[in-house]
Amino acid sequence: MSAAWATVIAVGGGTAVLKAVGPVVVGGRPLPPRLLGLLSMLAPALLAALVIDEGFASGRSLVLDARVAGLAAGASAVMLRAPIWAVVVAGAAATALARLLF
Amino acid sequence: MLLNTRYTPIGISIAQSFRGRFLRRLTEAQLVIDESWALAGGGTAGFDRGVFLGAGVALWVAWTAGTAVGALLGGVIGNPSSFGLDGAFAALFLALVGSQLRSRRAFAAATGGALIAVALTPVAPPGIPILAATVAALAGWRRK
Repeated sequence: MSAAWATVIAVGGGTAVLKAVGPVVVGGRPLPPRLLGLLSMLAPALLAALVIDEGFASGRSLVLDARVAGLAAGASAVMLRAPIWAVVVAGAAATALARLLF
Repeated sequence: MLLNTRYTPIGISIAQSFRGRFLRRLTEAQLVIDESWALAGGGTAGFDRGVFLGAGVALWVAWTAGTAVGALLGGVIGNPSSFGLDGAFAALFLALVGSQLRSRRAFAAATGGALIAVALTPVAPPGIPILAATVAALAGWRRK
């Protein structure tokens, strides 16, 4: 077995364990309200960081490239209350178009 | 691997919704990814178990199929970024974060998460900025 496959298996197994901790250990029981309050703020924090990572990060630098067009198109679609698949399609189309033109 | 440690707090945030025996919880837990969690309203009182399971299965099938297509036809279809696939993910997360901004607290947490990502991307290895951004949840946390 190559080192690459060993890494894939180790990371895959590790991630499966990380995902299982909450549901298996806490599963079914109610959480204290204070903890729930904190966890409900996890989504906006994490998703905003993912927007930065997917939209602007290129390795270790922050760049403005064709993805900005995708984000703009996606934002417009969100404001028009488009369904989420349409937002994704708009983002892909605008990014591809911008990449083609520039 | 480090990047994926975010799935532990994410898993805890929806752990209440998991039922059944050990093996069933273990299996369903594997459907936890950013998209399925966020679409189902993860971390909010209105978490929808059905949406979570449906989205999780659909995403897993699509991801696996996409990987197979890429492996088999990668040379034929060319670079996925020419289809704007990276921009599509950015737009998806933008839509998901937009759906979360229902309160001033959520806005503070999102702003904090974005700022942490901007600050750490140039100096930290990939994955760390996302992980560190979870700290921004504290910005929106109000003690009761």
